[in-house]
Amino acid sequence: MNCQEFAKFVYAEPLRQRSSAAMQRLNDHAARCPSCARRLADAEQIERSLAALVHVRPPTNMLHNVMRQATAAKPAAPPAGRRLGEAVGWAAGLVGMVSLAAAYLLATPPTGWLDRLSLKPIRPIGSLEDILGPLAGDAPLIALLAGAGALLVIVGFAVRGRCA
Amino acid sequence: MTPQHGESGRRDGHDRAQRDCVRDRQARLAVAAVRGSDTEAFGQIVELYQSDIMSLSIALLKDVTAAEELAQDVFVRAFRYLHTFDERKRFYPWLATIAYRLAQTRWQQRKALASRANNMRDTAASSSTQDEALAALIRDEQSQRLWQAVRALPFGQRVAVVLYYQQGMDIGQIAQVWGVSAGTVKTCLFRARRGLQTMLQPPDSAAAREKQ
Repeated sequence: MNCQEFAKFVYAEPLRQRSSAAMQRLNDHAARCPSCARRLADAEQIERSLAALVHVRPPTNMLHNVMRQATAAKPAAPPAGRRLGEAVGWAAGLVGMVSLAAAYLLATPPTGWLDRLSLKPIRPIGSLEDILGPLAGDAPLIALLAGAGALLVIVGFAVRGRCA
Repeated sequence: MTPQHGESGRRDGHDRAQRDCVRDRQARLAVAAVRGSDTEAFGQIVELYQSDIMSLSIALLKDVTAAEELAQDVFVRAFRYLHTFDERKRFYPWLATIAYRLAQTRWQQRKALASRANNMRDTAASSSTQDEALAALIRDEQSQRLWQAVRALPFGQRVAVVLYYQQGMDIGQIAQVWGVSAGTVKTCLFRARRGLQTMLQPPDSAAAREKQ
């Protein structure tokens, strides 16, 4: 490293980011060159002074003024889009829960379709009617309610999560 | 100059990082309390960061009176928009970002006013008044001199110096607050160090170096 490189390098990086290898290179050159040694000492001195740069004292009434203004201002309401999103999320979740509850009530014995299913004796499946037959009553409705309910609950959670 | 100097600098940086960590934890607790409707807990946040925000405001605006107003507005705005603070991140960079954006608006307003008034004499006169106002806030003479030198730096350089050296933020955080690349921050710091070197070193030593 020559003096020109040293002059460029000495300011290139802040002290706390300089690697040990970089420090070593600077120190090696400074050991041979008194002028550069002074330059390095000056640069280090500036950095130390800056690190010790005192904080400016805030006005004594700042805390009081801030608290007075802050409590008068009240926190800002979330943006309208966010409020709408949250409302939609809650509504979807609620409708989903109601759907799931309705599906459960319909499927619960003794009034539900499970009770009306005659699974015994097990008959070999011969035609499409054998498969769809037991589901002909409330089954499509229950399936629809359960599916839509679960989907709405998931959507509700997702929407509220995004708006949080 | 010995290698020990570099080591002590890094050690100081480590101590400061630890202090900042503790402060950040305290601020987060206060944020949680404010969010839980304990408005008074916001006072703790003001107490924790008022010196930093005041120093940053002076670096941003140079004008001490305007800096006091800015510092207050920063906290009031922070209180109003506390719900937007992302708890996974550190608190002070968020606060510094508010200060930076508010200062930008003030700068634009002042620029518009200045161009309308077009009165350069007033600006020059207010500079010495500002030095006096700053002296009233900092007792130590050496610190006053250093602050005046920092205030004399161009905008980007003085903000980078205050955020990096005084407030211990790293280059990546400053770049985020500022909305620029890390390279820009590094360049500002590099130029600031060189500028301060020229401003602060005694005239005789500068002349001696020029000769060599």
